[in-house]
Amino acid sequence: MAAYEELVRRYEEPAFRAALFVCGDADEARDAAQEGFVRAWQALPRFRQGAEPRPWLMRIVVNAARNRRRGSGRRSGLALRVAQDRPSDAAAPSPEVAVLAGERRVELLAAIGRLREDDRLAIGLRWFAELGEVEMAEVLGVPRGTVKSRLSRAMGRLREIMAEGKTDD
Amino acid sequence: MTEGRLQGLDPMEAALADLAAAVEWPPTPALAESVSDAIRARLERGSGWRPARRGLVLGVLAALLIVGLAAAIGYAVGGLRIVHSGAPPGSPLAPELVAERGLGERVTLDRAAEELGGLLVPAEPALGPPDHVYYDAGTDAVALAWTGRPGLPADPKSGLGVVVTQFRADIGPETFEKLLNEGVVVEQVIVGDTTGYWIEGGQHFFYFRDAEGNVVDSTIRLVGTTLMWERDGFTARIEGAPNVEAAKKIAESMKPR
Repeated sequence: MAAYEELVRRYEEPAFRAALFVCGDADEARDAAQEGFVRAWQALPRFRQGAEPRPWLMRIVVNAARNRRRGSGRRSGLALRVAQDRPSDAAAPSPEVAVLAGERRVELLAAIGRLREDDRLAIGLRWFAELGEVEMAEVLGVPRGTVKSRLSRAMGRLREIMAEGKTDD
Repeated sequence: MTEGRLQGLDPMEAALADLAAAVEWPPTPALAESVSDAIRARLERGSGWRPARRGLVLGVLAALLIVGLAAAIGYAVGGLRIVHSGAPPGSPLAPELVAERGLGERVTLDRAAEELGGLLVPAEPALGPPDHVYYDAGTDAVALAWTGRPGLPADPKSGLGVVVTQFRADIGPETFEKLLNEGVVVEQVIVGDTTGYWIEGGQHFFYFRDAEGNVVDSTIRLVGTTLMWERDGFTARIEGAPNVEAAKKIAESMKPR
């Protein structure tokens, strides 16, 4: 069991964060990650030797998170915040530009929170977990082509939501 | 993601990369100990490791393995295996649970096609457009459902007359399996220009393996007849048609959306 505990420690962060993109709520994500790791232990005999454990574990945790979210019937916003003191990547921005960049981040994060589960997860895995398409395909359990189309759709919906926000202003 | 890595991204992609670097994550919970405790607790409970109904399915599987699972497999369609077994059907479920547990979330036809990257929809006039369309993200499968109508009696458990389910056939050869009770006859049939299987003569139940290999039963799809076949990269099945001719008529009318 000690070896498995080590495995959990190594991958609990990406697993928890992926679950967060499904559940939205940190407590739910924690429970989903725990449940996922328990199920992964149970499924260890079926783990393909030589395979990369991270996407395998993340896939199990993501599925556990989806089941929890469906079971609860609740849809939570995304429990993430933007660090206020984090400068933009643009070189030496003025205070006004920095404020605008911060507001833009908050708007974008809120827009991600409004995406439906699959789109939010695709965005989270690609841009926040920084997974490539191959690894995403493993986590989502879909062909690589489907990953491309889901990402494209998610980005399109995100643009739409952002555009709606501008119209509302 | 550094400024250099932002180069070549479109504005939205660059904004996402910038946001990802600026986001404050909730603290990652330390899970190792609680996971260990949960595993030990479940091991100590023994038979409580799985829900009872799922345990039944696994018990059947175990028995099959003992007598030689390979010998029991006589038919295969992409992503589907058909296994004879003496397992009893599952207990009845309320119709409301059909959508929630068996078929997924209600979606539009367009959304279903988008999710699956294509969709085959029956153009049989007697059916008309489906009454309900479901998408199950867990199995990446779409189900088109018609409620009972003259010539298509409703399944007493689900209230559905015909259900056409389809999923990409390249998701793995052993993802979907079907258990048959004794007395069920499987007949090889021609569907358009491909081979399919017609299952008739008794009750059968359907289950799939989830991402971690667990068997997830969806007995609520239980119906008396099933036609399964593969076309255009999809594995499809029609449940509930009154006879093979009616099922083939529906199957051969299906057109890409």
